[in-house]
Amino acid sequence: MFRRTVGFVKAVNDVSFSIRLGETLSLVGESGCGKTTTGRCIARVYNPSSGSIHYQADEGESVDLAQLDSRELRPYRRQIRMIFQDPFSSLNPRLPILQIVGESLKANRIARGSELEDRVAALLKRVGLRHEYIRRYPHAFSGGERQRIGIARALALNPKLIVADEAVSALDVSVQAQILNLMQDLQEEFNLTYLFIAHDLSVVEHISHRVAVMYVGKIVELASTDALFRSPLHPYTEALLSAVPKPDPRLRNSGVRIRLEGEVADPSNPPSGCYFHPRCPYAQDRCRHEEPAARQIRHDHWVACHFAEELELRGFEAIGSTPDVRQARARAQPSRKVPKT
Amino acid sequence: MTEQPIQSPDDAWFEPSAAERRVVVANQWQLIWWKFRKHRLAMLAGLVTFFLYGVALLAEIFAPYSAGAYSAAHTYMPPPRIQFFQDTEAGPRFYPHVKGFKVQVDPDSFKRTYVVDETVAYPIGLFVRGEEYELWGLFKLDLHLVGAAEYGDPVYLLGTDRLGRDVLSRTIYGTRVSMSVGLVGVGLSLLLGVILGGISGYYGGLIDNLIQRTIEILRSLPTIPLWMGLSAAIPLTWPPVRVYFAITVLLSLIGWTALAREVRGRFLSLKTEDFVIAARLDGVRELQIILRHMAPSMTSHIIASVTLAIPGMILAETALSFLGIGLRPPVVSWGVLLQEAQNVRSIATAPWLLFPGIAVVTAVLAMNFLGDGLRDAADPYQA
Amino acid sequence: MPDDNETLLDVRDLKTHFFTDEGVVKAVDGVNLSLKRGQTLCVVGESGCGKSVTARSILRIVPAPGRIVSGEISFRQRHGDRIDLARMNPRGRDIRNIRGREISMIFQEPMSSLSPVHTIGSQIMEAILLHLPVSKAEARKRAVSLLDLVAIPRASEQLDAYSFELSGGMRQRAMIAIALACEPQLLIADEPTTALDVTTQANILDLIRELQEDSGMSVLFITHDLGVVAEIADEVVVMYLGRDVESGDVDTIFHNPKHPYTRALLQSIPRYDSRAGERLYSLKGTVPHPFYRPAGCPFHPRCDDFIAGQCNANDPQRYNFSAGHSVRCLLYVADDDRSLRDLPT
Repeated sequence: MFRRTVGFVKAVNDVSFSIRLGETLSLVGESGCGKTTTGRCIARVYNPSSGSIHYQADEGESVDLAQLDSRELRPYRRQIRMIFQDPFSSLNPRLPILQIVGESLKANRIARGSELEDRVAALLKRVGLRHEYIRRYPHAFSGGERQRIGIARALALNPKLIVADEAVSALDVSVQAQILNLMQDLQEEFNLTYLFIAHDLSVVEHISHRVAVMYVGKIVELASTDALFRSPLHPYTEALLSAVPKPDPRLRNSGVRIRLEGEVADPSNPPSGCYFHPRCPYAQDRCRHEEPAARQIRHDHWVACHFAEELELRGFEAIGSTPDVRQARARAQPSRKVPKT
Repeated sequence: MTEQPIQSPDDAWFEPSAAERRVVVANQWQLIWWKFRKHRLAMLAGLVTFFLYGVALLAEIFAPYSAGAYSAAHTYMPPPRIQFFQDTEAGPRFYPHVKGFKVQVDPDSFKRTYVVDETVAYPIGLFVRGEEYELWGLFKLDLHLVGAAEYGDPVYLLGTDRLGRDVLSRTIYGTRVSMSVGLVGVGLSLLLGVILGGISGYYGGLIDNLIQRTIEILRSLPTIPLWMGLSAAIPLTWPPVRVYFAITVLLSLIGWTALAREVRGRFLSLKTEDFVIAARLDGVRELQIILRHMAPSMTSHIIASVTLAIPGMILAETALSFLGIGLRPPVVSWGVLLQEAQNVRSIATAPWLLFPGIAVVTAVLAMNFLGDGLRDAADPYQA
Repeated sequence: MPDDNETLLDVRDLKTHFFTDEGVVKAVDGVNLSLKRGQTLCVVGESGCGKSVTARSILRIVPAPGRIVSGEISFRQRHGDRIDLARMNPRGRDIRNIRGREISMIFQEPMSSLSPVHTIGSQIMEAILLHLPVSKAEARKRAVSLLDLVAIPRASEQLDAYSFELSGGMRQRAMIAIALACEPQLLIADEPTTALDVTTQANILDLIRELQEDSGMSVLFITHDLGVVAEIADEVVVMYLGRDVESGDVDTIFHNPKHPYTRALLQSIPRYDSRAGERLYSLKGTVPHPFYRPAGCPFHPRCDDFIAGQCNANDPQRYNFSAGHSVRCLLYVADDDRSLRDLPT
């Protein structure tokens, strides 16, 4: 009488990937594809029902985060931090910035009193906010500033891995650029590793070293950013890339757009075979019956499609820059090195 | 390292104004107060509520007589007209007074009627000396806010009842009991509601189910018969104070359910808020998360709900006492007083006995408006 | 008032202010835009720039305490008469005959603009029966063909579906079907694809474009996404703090932008050809709260080309760079013949 079982939804199913030290790995996909769930499992907001999350700790030994209980997890919570999508709901409106950013320092008994204030002020300065702001409450800040506060909170414990869940999606384009630049600078300075979850492919293209494409709880393609954007191997990736609006009216009718018909499959009742086959323009009989396994086709390029070798898929067409944009590029300085893998 | 694209501090334009500087460091209570202040009706209701509790606290000072004082010679006396000036040869003189009454007996029906006696004037005043009393059992005083300037004059500003007791004084003493029944009753409900609602919302699962089903069963019972049944179980031999507490416990045993649901709902929605998850990822311990992050987000809402629950308690007490199954004389509450005005005859001949009813309406309306205003201001972060 | 027949909508110096307890929010403070028949005008800007309020002002559905303070919204009706929407009673009969019949609007969140208790079909039919003299049966037939038109599969079945049974993309299609029920001359689309996935967004944009080609209606498209602008716009108006700072045709805006704000917006988009690790150009600061509008040019505190003593003191006037390309910026000064030239640097 008191039991409720609605159904078992596999938001994320058999997701396997690894993140290398110092790199940015992006997870992309349409809403409901399970990218947020994956990120939250790694940060252990949710408990994965099966599988393992191997984390290389400082000492070199590898721990399976999925097996740890909340007490054993404590030291790793310091190293794996999270930046949230919504800059409004992720900061407690009733606490001043000092408490919000300093919470982890206090909870882990690292700093208190005036030392805590100094450390929070330094963190704020690092993310481009003034140190006087520690007495202010979140309502005094704009979306971009709040996101900086969220980043400062994530940085407080010298983390190794930051799960950024749609960290710039809610921001205006000019502010988004500020935050992306800040994240890149911090990565270089502190040798951070990012798991960057996003749906905006142009942002992903800009910030990532490698990209994983998810569809209905599975990773369908994983490759370096360049390889994935230039020569995708999965039809879903191709469709996603072709749907991205290109910010140049002269390219309006240049590429062939692949229209995806139908809806994202229901994860509680996924289709047989390849989950993408009902929408795939290249689907064949085999796709309906046989689930494709992830295979490494080229160096570091994984794909889960039966016909990956045969299909000739189009990548993201190169876009001609306007003179103004080139000028701006000349002003900006390259500041990020490709990390060693 | 390149320069951060921060707001350049040289731009005076980015400097917040003085008003803004106050806002940016304002905590939730300041914001709630600023928002509440704009709600004029609620502000007024707040003042009325404050006044009513002031009256309850200082009933002895506000009341001209004690609750039990009676005068057999002045039964069912109507409220006199208060006059502030007296005509003298030198023109009108400030002399607040009331005219006396003469008793006329109808020779046929032997009915006693009061007629104004223009020849007698009893002066009245503020802070007059009168009956002695002990305020809160501590101070021996004989000061009364209003009353006859000379001790002993028959001045009954709102008339008298069937035993010649001052209606005004009894209503004021009734305020003490009725308003405190609401407060104590809601206090007990709050305790039960927060504990049970909190457990229900925080742990979920079987405990949640049990508590929620209990609430549903309690809420599905018709309240008046339930109260009647329970209060019938209060032994007649109990002293009035014990009856009073029994009644408040009884009211709160039924009243906690709404609060428990409110607390549970808040807990459930807060549990998945990003900032609570963030605190958990910060390594904050569960108790700290509840105390520092979740509870402060609920308190303002709970205060608003509590304010809205008090009128219900006041009405419940009034209803029970009116029906004769709640508080009983000699305890004076609004309900007990209204019981006096239960029959048609007394309403026809002595309508001033309904004055406690006006007090009930005022108190209930004031607390409802106050609660509404508080509820609107409870979340100052919503645009 | 423009008297050419080609201009469907002409907004002149529109000001819509919100009179709140804390003060006056000048959400729209002097916007000009002009939309030709059959064309798509994109109004682009960051949140808080007043683009949505501009759209709502045209339909006179500005929520209280906002109201139009001054300005003119000249609209050419189907039978050729020009009327000023800004002067109409927002609750009157005249404006109600315009809404839905001549001008329709679709919103960002279709779930909140569709009724959850009525079927999609009955909502379309309601819109038809309100404005057109047709029978119920005819209205139903028309509703089916509208759902067909917006490419909702199995149209006659979906007519009896409720909004919560449809996916986000299908809901937006249903919204468009309702908006098109009476073949309006102007469709106002307020961020219609912002809540959608990129694949669905592409489909909806295609749909709007096709519908426009078939029916010849004009579209006023509100968005913050410059990629979408490049895909769909004929003309573009860039707004900042309640004003149009630059307007022109889409190619000019993207390839020859003059206003520093437009340039900054274009430069802050991450582009495909950027080398890995490159920093993005970014504007400093954020859009200020409309209470604290900076003096002079409202953009000056964030502008890289800020001229002290000039930009923070003088209100820039609108100058035409070339036909159809106007800029409000003090970097450009007018010659005697009122044409613009670049300021010597």
